[in-house]
Amino acid sequence: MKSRSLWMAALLAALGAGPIHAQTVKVGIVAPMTGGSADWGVQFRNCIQLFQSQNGDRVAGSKVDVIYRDTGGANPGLTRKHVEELIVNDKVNVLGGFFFSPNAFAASPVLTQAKVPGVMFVAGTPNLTETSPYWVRTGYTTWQSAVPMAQWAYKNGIRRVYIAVQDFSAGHSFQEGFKMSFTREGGQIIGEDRMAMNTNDFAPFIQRIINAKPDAVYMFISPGPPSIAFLKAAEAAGLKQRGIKIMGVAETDDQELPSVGPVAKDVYSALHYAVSLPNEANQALVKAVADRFPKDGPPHSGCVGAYDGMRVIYQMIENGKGRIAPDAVESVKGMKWTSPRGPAMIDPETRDIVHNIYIKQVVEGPDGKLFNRVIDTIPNVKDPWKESRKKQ
Amino acid sequence: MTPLAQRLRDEAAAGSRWRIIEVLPWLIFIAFYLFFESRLALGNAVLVMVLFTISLDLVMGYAGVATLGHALFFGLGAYTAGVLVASGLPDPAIGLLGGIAVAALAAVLTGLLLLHLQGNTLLMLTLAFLMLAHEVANKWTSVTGGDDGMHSVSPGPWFGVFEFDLQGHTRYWYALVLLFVVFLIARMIAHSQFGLALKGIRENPARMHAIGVPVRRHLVMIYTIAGAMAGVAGVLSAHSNGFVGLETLSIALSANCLVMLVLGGWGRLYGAVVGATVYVVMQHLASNWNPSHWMFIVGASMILVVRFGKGGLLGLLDRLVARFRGQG
Amino acid sequence: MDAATSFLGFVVIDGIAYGMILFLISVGLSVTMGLMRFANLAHGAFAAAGGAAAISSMQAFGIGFLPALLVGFAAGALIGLILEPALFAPLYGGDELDQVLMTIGLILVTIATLNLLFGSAPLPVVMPDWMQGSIDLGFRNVPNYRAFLIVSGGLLMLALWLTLDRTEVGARIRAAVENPSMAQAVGINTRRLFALTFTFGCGLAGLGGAMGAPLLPIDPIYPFRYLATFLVVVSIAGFGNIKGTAWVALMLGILETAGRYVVPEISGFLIYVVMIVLLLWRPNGLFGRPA
Repeated sequence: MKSRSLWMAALLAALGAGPIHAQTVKVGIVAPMTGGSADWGVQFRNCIQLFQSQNGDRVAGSKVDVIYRDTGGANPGLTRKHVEELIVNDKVNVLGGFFFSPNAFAASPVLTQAKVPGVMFVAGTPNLTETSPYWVRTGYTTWQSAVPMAQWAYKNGIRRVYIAVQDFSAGHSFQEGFKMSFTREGGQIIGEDRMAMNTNDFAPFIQRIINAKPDAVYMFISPGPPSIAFLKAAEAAGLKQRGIKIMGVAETDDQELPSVGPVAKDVYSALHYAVSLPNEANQALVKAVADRFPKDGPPHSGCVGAYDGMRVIYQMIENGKGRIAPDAVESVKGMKWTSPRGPAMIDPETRDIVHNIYIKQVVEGPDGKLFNRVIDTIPNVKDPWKESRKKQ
Repeated sequence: MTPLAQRLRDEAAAGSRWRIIEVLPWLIFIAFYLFFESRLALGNAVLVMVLFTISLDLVMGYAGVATLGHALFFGLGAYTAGVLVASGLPDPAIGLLGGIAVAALAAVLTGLLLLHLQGNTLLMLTLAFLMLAHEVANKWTSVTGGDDGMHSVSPGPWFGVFEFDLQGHTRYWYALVLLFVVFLIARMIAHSQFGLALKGIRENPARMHAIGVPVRRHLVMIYTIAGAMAGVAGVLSAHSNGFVGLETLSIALSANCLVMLVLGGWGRLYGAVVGATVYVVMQHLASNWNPSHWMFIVGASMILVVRFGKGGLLGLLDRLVARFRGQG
Repeated sequence: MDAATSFLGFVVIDGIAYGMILFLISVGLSVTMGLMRFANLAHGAFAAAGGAAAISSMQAFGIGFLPALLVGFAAGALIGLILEPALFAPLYGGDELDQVLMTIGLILVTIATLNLLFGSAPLPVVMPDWMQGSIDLGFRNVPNYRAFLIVSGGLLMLALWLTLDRTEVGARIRAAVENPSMAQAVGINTRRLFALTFTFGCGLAGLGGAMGAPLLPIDPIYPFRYLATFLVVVSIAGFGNIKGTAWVALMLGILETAGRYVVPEISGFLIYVVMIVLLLWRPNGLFGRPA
């Protein structure tokens, strides 16, 4: 009896199985696994594992193997080496990850030369997807955050804004996006400062803001000691008491709040994700992350970028019937799905992700702890940077 | 002849002939190409850092000039190479010449300005110039790409024939040939009268002054040569990676090079070869660890070398060999 | 309130407050460099350790900010006391390069240790209530914290100067700085003096790190991040000169504050250009003596 069912099982398996050679698709994830931004690498890995545990590690008969490479910080030279090695030595079929934009830039020529698709989970400089036709984006772009923030600000009566950003390319990108949109709405930018990266004491910049008497200040500072120092300086000078609102990007994201402390209260921001999003997919994600990775904190945009990134990669493999085909990127253009961030789509023209942008405010929750509450939603935002260039 | 002079002369005379063991590193580099064909990117990184560390050894190990700003010349070489490719001059030979020229110019200018100073003041000033260059590169985004860097600066093919392929064959040979040439020059300097004088300056500058050696002129000369060599390393880095970023002008790069030189053993050129090779390979292998562990080990090794193991790895090797011979 | 007076008021008050922190952290370095002629690049490590110890003790034992400052001082001093004979003393009077290399190694070890102990995120500081408000001086508000820095920094400066100038210990230190062999010849135990002074200097650094933590957050890279800043202060001032360090720290604090306020685009360059010009003009620092 036993041997007959074994035969049956074997026969069924042989008939039902896919190609005779069991294929493996290798995914190379390039991310900061260590150093100041290690938290992002951890979220990538956790949420990739979560995705694979929920969707299996096989797609269309092929096993999906994930390899990780650590870039440390913004380390474009090292990133390029890792990408080359992953492709030449480890023979990966598709790349994922990428938190720092400079790292992604360094990888672009290699993707094109080797004809390997890459999925950006976070890196936000808008023109990145234009540097290689093999890029797909599941993170966001800087203008996708800056422009809706400007629009929301104007809609809510803010007319005079002072811009203060850190002096590097991401800061400039947010600055340009906000300025373009806010002035187009009819608002006024009454001052702009690019604060040097080696600034320790932000009091001078806060004072300049106070002197200009804006309705609000728009900031972008890389989360970490500088952003904390800025917000503390603002608090010490009584910026909020003077009625000046603070609008930012990720300085007061939920995962930063423990380090930033009470000075984060009432700070606004615009991003494509918030832990408090009420939709079903997000509730499930937050719970799954809490169950599986209780020590690593709630999910943030890094997790969602990786989670959706894997979904896109799985779709590529499915479209290629078990492999990453030469038209893998083509095949996911226009792809739509329901993400924890809300409805999502890969823009068929630009290969960026089209998603909702949420205006958030840091408030005190019922448990007395600070969190980001969503106060407005701008649906289906395409990359405004590319949109603005089209009009020319 | 004074004991100092005698010792220096003996050192020089002993070293000028090629010993069998000196061929070893070059054999290893060639073997690496043959047996590790899929890891040429790593090999290339080793060659670039060996070249950079040799240039630092000439300045610090031989002439005794303590500098934390040596990355200035590396970065200038790298950015010059990048700018030349980006401006429509992709020939790697032009990049090389341009990088050497700019780095050498910077070296001779800063050398003239600074090398009469000593100790901490000199250290601080070399650092200040490096940081200033870093800021300029950061702000001048139209030329340098700012903190995004210049990301498509792979050069055209060598002699119109040897393309810079993804595998890295051309890059590896390019680096190896350049490294060998620079090494020969460095070795020649080390065993020359000039080299002898430099060592004397390192040991006892006052004495050198007293016997009429043009100390400052010598220092500026070696600083310029070493700066040009560092520029070559920078050009190599830009051409090999097809990329130039702010890390080429960072204190971290200067400090890492210093660490490599110390761990290998300074003042003997091969220490630079050994130190850079071991450090880059180990760093690669350790890249899967928590970098805090790696950093701890490197820091502890530095402390141990300074306290107990002067001469780094090669010094250690010397003592082991001597003990072995003593017992034999 | 016209712009010029407002600007002056702002720059002076905020600049001095920032300068006070620079002084507190740098003074220990100036003392050790002047006395032992030792280039301690790892000085920021003691500041970071002191700051980390202070914050941890606040979190773990719930003590207030002021007592935590004492913990910061003690932590810096203790680590200095332990490391001095093992690592620093053997290199006194030796090759400067050795000192640089050893202290670079120490920085790396410290960063690694801080990372392993506390993780890579900056340590959050809870400021006591009395430090969180601000004083209304009429023409502008001065945050309590900055006022605290100015007052306590000033008191510390005074205390240090008085100690050096008026006490016997101070006299011995000054003697040992001027002429170590002579000092030893007249019976001053220079070895013990160096150990004591080094320990005290590290304690001061720890105190500076703890006091400055709300402004300069403590994270593992702290020793490296602010290395350039206090090396600049000490180089321009000239080693071993406490009054000089105070002057330069305050001037630099005011200059950097004013620079960022008036010409923020080039303020990043400003400090390096100033340092280059000043050091080329006076290689031994503005207040130092020729070696």
